[in-house]
Amino acid sequence: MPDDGYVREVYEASYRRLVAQAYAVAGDRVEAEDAVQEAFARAVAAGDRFRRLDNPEAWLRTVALNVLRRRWRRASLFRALTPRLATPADVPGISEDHVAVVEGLRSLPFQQRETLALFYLGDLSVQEIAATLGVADGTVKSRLTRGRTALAAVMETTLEAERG
Amino acid sequence: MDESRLRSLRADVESNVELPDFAGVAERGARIRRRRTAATGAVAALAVAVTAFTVTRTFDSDRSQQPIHQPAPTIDPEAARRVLADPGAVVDPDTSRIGLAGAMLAVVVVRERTLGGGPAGPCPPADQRSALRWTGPRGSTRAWVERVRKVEPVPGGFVVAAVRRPCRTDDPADARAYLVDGTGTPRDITWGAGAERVCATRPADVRCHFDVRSRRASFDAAVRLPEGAVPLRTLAGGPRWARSSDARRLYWSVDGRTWRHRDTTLAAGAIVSAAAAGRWGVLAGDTSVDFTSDGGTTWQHRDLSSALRPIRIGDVDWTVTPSGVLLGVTQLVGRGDVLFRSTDATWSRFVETDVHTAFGLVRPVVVGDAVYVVDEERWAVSTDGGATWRRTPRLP
Repeated sequence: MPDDGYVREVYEASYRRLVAQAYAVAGDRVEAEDAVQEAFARAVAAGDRFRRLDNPEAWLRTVALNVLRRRWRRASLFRALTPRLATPADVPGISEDHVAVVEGLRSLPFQQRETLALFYLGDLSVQEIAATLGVADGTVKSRLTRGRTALAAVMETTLEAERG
Repeated sequence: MDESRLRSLRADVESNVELPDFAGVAERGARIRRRRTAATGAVAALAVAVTAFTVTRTFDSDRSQQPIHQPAPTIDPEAARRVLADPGAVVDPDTSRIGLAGAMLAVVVVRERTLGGGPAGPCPPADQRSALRWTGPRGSTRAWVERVRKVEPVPGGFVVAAVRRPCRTDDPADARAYLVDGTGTPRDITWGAGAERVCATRPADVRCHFDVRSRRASFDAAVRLPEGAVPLRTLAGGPRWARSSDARRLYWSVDGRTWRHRDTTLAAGAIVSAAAAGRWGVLAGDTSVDFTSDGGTTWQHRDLSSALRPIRIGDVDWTVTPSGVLLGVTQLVGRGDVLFRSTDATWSRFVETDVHTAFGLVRPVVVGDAVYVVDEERWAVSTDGGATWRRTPRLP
């Protein structure tokens, strides 16, 4: 039986940080936690290969993002055909302002959302995001700019609606 | 947009997310590991089944007991179509299998629309809708309603195992195993002495042999593996192969009773792949290989460093095909896992295949003339030593 002790150490150090990033991408706490747990499960399954990684958290982040991306693709057709079955789950205890930010992120295209999440919540540089997502630096910059603009517009609209 | 709101979101979430017990994640990881092992071990039955032609004590030699005849199931294609067309229908990668010539027997289950990943119960729910879908190498398909059962590739087709005893209902069909031939047609089995007791529920057992053409199954109690060994696949005419649990030793045997072995010459601590197919056996490190191409009679050593130079490799998991093609999986920076192959059995040139995943590509599995890898949704199958690949079809 392989020793899972190393994965457990990384789990205790990185789990919450990764969930925060995945939550911003998924817009759903349950989905975010499940994707991060799936990433750690694959780390357990990878055994020695995981132990030899230079940056295990980057590996986990990429796996979790892939899980979310795949689910998003699968769910998109279903969402288009049927109304949403359940309200997305928020993280209990976070401020209303942050719930609103996540709600705003949810309305953005997936690629803009994941780019914003990696930049602002993951503290990754443009180059690191480009390497993580497998796209050019310019693409990351463009997605950041468009994402910020779109999010600002969404948040502004929301505020106006609340003001009446 | 105030960027500080995005940045402060992280701290707020981190301070409010609870850390779940690691045991649940570890168990989930163990299931993935078992699934991968199962994918490799799926051919374990084949390893013995194919070469069991040479085993002396078969059904034919034990005519003192009457064989037991079992009927094949009745097919209701319309009911199967309804299962396959359900939006919740998914192929279960744990139980589905690829056969010798690239045919696939997929176990299709209709799942609730949950996020998944929860622990599977010991038995599938009795009311769970499920079906088997056979897909031939040329794309023809056939499907029938069936409970979730273990399926195993054998020469000429597949065995569909009986439902595990704790999971059986009152339906007598649950206790029956049957064959699926090369046209995707379910066929009955005639069991030889002692075979049904073990082989109906555990067709991958190394002592079980299935012959699809004659629709017979036999059991050889004298076949046994070396202690602690893990069976590897082989082909008709080749020896049976097995490896030690640390992959540093290969075992081979002609009759399944007496075994010889070879240890790797690589230093302790080196990552070693132990693989075998037909008469080829390899004990391979990242860039060097100890190998036999004559069923263990002679062994050679080969340094692959210069041949691998065009591919910037890291750690490699190696597989060999019956024709001596080496297949390797490695993780390339920024590109995830990539499958590459030697262009022939001389191993003088290696090229990348178009099979790659961001993460999680596991070692390819060789079954007869087919090589396949499992990803999250489908299978990539090659029947020309990895030169070209096709994806198994999506549902329905």
